[in-house]
Amino acid sequence: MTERTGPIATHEEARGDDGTASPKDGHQRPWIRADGQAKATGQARYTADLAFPGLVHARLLLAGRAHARIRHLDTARARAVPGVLAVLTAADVPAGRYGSFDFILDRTLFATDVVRFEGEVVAAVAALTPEIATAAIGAIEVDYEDLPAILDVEAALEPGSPLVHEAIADYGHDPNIEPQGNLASRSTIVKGDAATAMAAAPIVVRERYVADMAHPVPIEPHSVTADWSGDRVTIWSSTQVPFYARTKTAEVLGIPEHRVRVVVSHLGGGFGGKCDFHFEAHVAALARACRRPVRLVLTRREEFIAPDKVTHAMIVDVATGVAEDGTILARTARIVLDSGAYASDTPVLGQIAAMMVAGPYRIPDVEIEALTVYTNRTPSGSVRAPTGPQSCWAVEQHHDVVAARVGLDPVEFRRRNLVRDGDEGPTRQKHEGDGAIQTLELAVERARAGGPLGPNEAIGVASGWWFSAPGPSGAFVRLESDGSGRIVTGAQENGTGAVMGLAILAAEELGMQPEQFAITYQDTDVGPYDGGSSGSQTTFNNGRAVVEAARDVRRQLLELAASTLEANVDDLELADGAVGVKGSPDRRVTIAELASTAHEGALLLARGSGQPPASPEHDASACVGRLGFESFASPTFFCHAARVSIDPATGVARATKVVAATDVGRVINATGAIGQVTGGVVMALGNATLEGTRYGDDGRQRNATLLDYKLLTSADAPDIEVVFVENPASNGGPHGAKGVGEPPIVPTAGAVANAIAAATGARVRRLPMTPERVWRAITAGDDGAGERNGPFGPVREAVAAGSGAAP
Amino acid sequence: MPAPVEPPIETPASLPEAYAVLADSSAEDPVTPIAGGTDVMVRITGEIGEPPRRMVDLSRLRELRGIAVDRGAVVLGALTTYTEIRRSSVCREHLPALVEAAATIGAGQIQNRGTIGGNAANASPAGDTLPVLLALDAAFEVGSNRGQRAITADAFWVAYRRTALAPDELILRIRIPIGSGRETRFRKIGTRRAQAISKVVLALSWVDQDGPPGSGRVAPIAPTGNGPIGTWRDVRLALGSVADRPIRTRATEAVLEAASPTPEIADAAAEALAGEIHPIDDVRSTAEYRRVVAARALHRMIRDAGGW
Repeated sequence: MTERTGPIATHEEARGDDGTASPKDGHQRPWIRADGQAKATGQARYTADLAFPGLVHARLLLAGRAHARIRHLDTARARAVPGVLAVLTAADVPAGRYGSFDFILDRTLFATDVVRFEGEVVAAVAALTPEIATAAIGAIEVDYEDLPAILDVEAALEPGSPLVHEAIADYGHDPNIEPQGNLASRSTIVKGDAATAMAAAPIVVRERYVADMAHPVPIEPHSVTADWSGDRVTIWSSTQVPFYARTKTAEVLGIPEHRVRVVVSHLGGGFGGKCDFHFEAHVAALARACRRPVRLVLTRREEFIAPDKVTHAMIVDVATGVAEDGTILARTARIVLDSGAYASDTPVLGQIAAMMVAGPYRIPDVEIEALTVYTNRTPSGSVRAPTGPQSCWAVEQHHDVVAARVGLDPVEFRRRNLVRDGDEGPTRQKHEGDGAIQTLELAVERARAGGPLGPNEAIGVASGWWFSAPGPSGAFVRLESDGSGRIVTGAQENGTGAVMGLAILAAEELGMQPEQFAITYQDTDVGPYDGGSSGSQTTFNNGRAVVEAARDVRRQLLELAASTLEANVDDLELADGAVGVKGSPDRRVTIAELASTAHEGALLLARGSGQPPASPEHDASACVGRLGFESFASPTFFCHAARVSIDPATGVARATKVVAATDVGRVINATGAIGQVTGGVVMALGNATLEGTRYGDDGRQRNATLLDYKLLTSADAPDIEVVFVENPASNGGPHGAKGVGEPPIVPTAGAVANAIAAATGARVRRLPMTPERVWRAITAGDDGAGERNGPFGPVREAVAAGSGAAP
Repeated sequence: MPAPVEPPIETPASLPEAYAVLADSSAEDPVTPIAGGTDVMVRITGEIGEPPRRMVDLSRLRELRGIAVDRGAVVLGALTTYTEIRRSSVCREHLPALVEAAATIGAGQIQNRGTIGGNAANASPAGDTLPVLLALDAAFEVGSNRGQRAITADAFWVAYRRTALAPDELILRIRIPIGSGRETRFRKIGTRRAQAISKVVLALSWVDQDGPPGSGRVAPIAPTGNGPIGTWRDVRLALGSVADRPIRTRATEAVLEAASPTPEIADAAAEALAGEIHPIDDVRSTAEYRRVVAARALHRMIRDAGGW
């Protein structure tokens, strides 16, 4: 293990973990990412900034109601509005249903007969100005027959409940799941015989935790521009996953993929909300209909209600059997995820939630089931570490409760139960390294170093794990004739710096500096395939591809140099921009010289496809609903310790310090990794204490604006100490790296919750832990889990319209 | 979704021209004045409230700018921005609670644009400066083609988002009396530290009968807890976000009048306040939370003033 804390020190040790010589660990120095200056100075262009001659403007007609049958839809008046160029509905595009990753084919591009959530797209308009497009949207006549809004996940599972999808039985779906009624999917994680172990356990603790829906809230809303040239369409889209967006656009429009090009300009944040395929096909269809480039930019309200990517509302019923000495004996749990109106990618996220509720703990017998349930809400999906924060918040509070029940300090309880090197996971995968324990000890030590606690102040801890996501991913590396470098990659930069950091890896292999590389990216016509900015996978997967390509170029350089220097390749070394003969300082040739020679003949050009490592060996034979996360590949382990001060009069819980300790395997880009953890903690604190969607009983969001949906600002951010532990993964990313983008958002809420309970004696079992909820827990002993206010019940409306305290 | 179409706007260069534009403004067909646009710009998007039909832009009316001291009062032009209030040595000396309130509004960009006249005219029950204006017994000088008149803060907000202004009237200036040892405290309870709409906002003001003759500076009466605790006179307590408009709470004021900031008085005042206000549940908070937290915040203000 190497422990590393910011600020970053130069790190001189040799690599050696994969046999590649790397005399200077250059990537540990702070460096300026290639896109940094343009973004910091406002010169960077985002999708909505792009100018096109003849551009016209799109607007969507959204349902505006939770559940209704379309009796009649008439666009004639809208088409007649002067300046309107196209109006499209389901009748104007190929019929047929699709679904995220083909889990359940439950969606159509435009509402067909029934609308199932307020943000469902009913029609789309293209017009000369945004104002005309808006007027035309208002001129579309829709006659709805309202249907009962299904908003309560538990009621939705009752026999005889009205159905979100009447024809669910006819939908195509992944063979590993069985959609039925409002149940979209059921997945289990099973090891041993939990029922018997639980019955034999001397102490059993059962609890319920409930999390409200939340949102990713990227600062840039979804925006898409499409332009056709003959039978080919170019789509500029604010997507995190350009190749996936291309595949789905081609699928729903019924055209081959090579006729669709997806280009991403700079992306203004995503946080998972721009994963998947959203409005690319709508805009492409509009552009084809009016033979002009068409641009769509969502309003902030639309951004809250329309994309099928919100953070899941969840119920976690968890039980733990424990011995008197605090050893965990068994774990059972039932997790219900509100999928919303469509399955999106939620079925696989149910499986992930089950793995998260098991956690990185030694538990001999496990039986966890996760149900994903249709309701008439905005569909949920893979927002940063999907289901992770809610699951970890629930189970880590539960662990503190269990610890108290057996009379153990929460840290000591974790020490006894967290996995160590060689221990088994919930499906018997073998854990590598002691990262779970090391991060616990580090986080606690650093948090306690902050001086004595004041009144109403306490430290809470939460530990957890998160997977790395092996997948196919490609890159090209080439050297230009002057010896400067270029990386051409399919990877998507969503702001994290992961793509910018690829230069570090290439430079390291080639004895160059990261600043000597240009990066060509975010264009499906140019770069090889990549899974996109999702699943913390860019460095993990594309990093391997870049290293592979760079090593090939390195081999080519050494062979060229061997002939130039008349030496044996084995006697050569590549460093500081030149190849030299070991032990003969005067016999050397620069990369620039070799590159200029090369251009007269062979090209210094290579590809890498970073063959994904296999999943760890495991036994999932007793699990159902298996969608690929029966084991966690190269898991990242972490612990956050939060020092929280509570004002009992107002219930305001303010984190004053958060120590985030993470075993990332290997730090590749320290600046980027520290940035990811810092941003993750801030985002997590907002999730923990401020956010959460409020629904009216009409099934419409009540705080779908930034006026009433508040994220944390820097004024509220605590002191954040970032600590890395390095246990390189044997089957991981470059140099043993593991995923770093998602883990930092996972444990913070749990740490804050445990601090609140430690300081006040009151436990809040409802997320977000708003001041009102903390205050009610303190003053009324109400933990919030039964509160009918939020995603599982309506917000109480103002007593009389116009008498409210609204602004 | 309503159209985000910009309404027609006129930009008069003088007050008489502005009055002329406003002359045919009526309740049925109002001309909406725009200064900083903090609230009006949000209405124009159509997402919150009724979009204005037609507007008059006040930005060129120099007559409505400036901060001055005049006959025992600070006079703020209606177009005075929050940033100007924060930076004004006059405000910092005489109206520290108003400076504090101005500093809690929005972000720096909003403070640069938003005006105190706009905050008052918008008449949001959550307007952050409004309880301070009530507690300081401010008066609004308003004008139209028909002449000028003064309206006390107490009479200015008449209902939910409604003021005593006639449809053709503009706020010209706000007069805030100063001096005679008046102390004022401000507290905002919002969702987060910056850029949050209040859940509860309080301003408490009094004259300390036995205290040093004062400039009105904020200073604890007995910061160490050792000094004499004075007797309060002319107490005013105003709250926002607990009713359909910013309000004075007279029953609670009566508990504090001619009293000293002792633990017993603080308990009695907090209890009186909890009984006197009737906030509502909405998307930002609950009635119960607002009532109890307002009472606790008042209790804490009295405790801090009493130095115990």
